Amino acid sequence: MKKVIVGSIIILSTLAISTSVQAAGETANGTLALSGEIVGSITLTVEEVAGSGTFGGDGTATATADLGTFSKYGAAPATGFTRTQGASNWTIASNFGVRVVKANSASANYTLTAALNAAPTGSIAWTIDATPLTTALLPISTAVAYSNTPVSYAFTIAIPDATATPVLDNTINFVATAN
Amino acid sequence: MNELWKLAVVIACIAVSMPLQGGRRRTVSSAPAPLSIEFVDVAPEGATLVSAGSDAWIDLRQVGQQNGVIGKFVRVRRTVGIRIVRTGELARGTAVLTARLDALDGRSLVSIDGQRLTTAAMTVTSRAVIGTVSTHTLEIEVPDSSTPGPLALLISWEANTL
Repeated sequence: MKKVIVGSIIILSTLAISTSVQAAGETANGTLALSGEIVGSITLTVEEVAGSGTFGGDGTATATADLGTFSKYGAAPATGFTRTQGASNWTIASNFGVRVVKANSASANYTLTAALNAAPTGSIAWTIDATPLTTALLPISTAVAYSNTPVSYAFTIAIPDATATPVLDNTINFVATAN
Repeated sequence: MNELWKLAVVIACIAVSMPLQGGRRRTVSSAPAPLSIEFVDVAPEGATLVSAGSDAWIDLRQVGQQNGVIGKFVRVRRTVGIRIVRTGELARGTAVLTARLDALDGRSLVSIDGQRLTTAAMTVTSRAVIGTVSTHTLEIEVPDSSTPGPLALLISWEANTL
């Protein structure tokens, strides 16, 4: 009889607990709506390639190249930049890569244009793939296929011997336009 | 004989407990819904969430790759504050918070606190403190291959007390 009473108490307690658990089961609902517009886009990065110098910000949209201090007959420019001495001028040449990829776009190719940020002084001439650069955007390459591999371009800076204390600080702005 | 006594007591216990359960259930069902979910605009984004009762809306605006960033998808993050509110005497305790997508749009992937969301309910937190705002990171990924156009997603949230 004693065993029966003990067993009954345990059973009653269990039922009481299960009753309170069921009663506490409350539910609340809510919704969070998200809206937006997926837009097609292209992105451009300037990158180091074979035959180029070392870039600060390599693989970003704002790369920099420090050629160091150099002259026609004295110190050579930084590694990756080739100096050629001419009869009345000399040139600094190198390569650079431009990578343009697309996202959420049906565009098949793009046009790359470039311009100098400031007009060069002292008859210094900047060219990319033989296209002279000015402060106006000019096409460098048209109908270029999007690729994860950067396209290599050659650029030169021609400095006349007659230019006293030439200043090379400048920025080349690139614009890729989806076709 | 002892076995018969035990059986009789068990049956008696069940019989006694039945009306008790029924009575509690009636009490719960007759009361107004005591538990609700509220969405709260939180930093760092701020002012991007519009809420009305237990429903809220976030406009992601234009989703596209930023210049100079090369990736296989665009990722947009938003922080969402959620408060589970219980009215009445028991305004405390914890709740299980779950979320699910109403439908997969095939153009985007949604995660909450790093867990990928599907149409099946996913536990966001198993111990959300009632009355306290808990913040959750919402992440929407749009693969580069997705077609452009409007984006519309609906996340259903549910809070359950234990």
